[in-house]
Amino acid sequence: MAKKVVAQVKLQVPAGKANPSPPVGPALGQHGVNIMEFCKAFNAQTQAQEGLTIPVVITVYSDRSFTFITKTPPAAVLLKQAAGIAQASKEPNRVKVGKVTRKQVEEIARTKMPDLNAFTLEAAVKIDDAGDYIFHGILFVIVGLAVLNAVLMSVLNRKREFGVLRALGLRRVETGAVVFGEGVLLTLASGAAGMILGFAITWIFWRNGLDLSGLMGGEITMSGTLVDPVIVPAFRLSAMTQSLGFILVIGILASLYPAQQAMRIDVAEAMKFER
Amino acid sequence: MSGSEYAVRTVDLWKIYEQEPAPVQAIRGVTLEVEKGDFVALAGPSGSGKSTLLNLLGGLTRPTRGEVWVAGKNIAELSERALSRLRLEKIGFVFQAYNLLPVLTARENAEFTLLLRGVPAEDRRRRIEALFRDIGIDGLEDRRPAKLSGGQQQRVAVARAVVGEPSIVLADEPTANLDSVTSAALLEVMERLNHQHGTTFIFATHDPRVMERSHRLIRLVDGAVDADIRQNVHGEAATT
Repeated sequence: MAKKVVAQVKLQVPAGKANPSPPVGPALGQHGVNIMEFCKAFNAQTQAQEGLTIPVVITVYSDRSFTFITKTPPAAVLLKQAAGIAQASKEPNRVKVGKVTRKQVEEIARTKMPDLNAFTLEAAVKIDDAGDYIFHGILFVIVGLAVLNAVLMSVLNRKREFGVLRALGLRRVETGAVVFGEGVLLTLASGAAGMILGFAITWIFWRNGLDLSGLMGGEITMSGTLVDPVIVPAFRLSAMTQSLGFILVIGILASLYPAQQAMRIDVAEAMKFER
Repeated sequence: MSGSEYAVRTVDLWKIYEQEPAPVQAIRGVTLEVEKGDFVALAGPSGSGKSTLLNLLGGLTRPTRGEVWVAGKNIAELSERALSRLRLEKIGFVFQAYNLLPVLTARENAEFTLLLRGVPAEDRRRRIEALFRDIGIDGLEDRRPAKLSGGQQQRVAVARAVVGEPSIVLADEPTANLDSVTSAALLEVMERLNHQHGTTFIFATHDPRVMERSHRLIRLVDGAVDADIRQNVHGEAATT
């Protein structure tokens, strides 16, 4: 017969050093759990990891018995340990207080493997990358289609205008070049506008932080890693230049077909008077 | 080479549109010469081939067979590049629907071909100024087409057609969208340009007033020349 769960308590406790004082005591005491029993069990299990803080989830049942699962130490704690600092930056991404090497980060990731939804570290990184690629791919396809649509519509709507240009003496290729140039300029201008807007929004969040605590209920874990509910974005020049480059390529690709359509306009046909 | 005394000359010109159920013979063996400085009306019922002939003369449509000589060149044989060049320098167009470029001002519309030809700004400004005064639209240089009346727009279109001093100006129903007073005024403008600058005009038209004022009236029926009448300005037929 399954026992009725009355409470789940999440705590972060120093490994091997659990004792009845706050926060452990009051948190468990209010559910009637035998505090000392928990402390002994916890300390026994975490002795090896002394010096680290371990997240633990304690499930309390109606008969006051309990079970608990220890997680790997929060990434933040591991990072602080690696950087050799006691206190993390109060303003992440704004005030830098320490440095960790890539090797140290990989070591931390390896420590946390049991809590990640991946079998190997490489796979974990790949999942992250793949998510990024898919997300960006979808965005870029949308951008490409939007440009194609805008430029193609303008060609179809202005058939007569291009007919006039041709009649006045513009060559086929020049007409195509006009359309192509328009398409690329349109893409670049909107790309630049998007960059400025994105920069402004990112800057606001960089200054104030994006506080998700209200949305996520205080504590956020991602793949078993505790995350600060206030997210502060970082600026990366490479990301911006890469995006601009991509946008340029998309603008060029999406303008080629409309340009070809403009070149194929039959002047006599385009100039036919329609009532 | 003969033909230099002509503004435009055609030899056994045919245009056949391949279409279902049967091919359409839009122009059937037209041979004609138009002298420099002439003022010619192409008349005929709808579907008689007026517009097609005009498009052939202007190199907007390629003939199925035959020759079109403009400025000493058979445009039926020109490359696309050479033909565009010829249109730019030797042929002016006036359309029924004016077809000014909406984003450009009257001045920019009129000087467009000069711009393409690389005429210096000062020269362009001078020519546009003189021309706009001639045509009676001075002071409207900086307006966009949407801010001009139909008659004014068509005058700008005429300015655009003649500003490069082309060998021929081809006008497809230029007065069809205008009321009679505006039409008469536009016609007068074109007559004056014809008179003063020797610009050759060829109109495709339904408008009896245009036919009346033309120096030569060519009537097309079913894609062939049905009548070719030389007349003086008052519409009295003279012998051809």
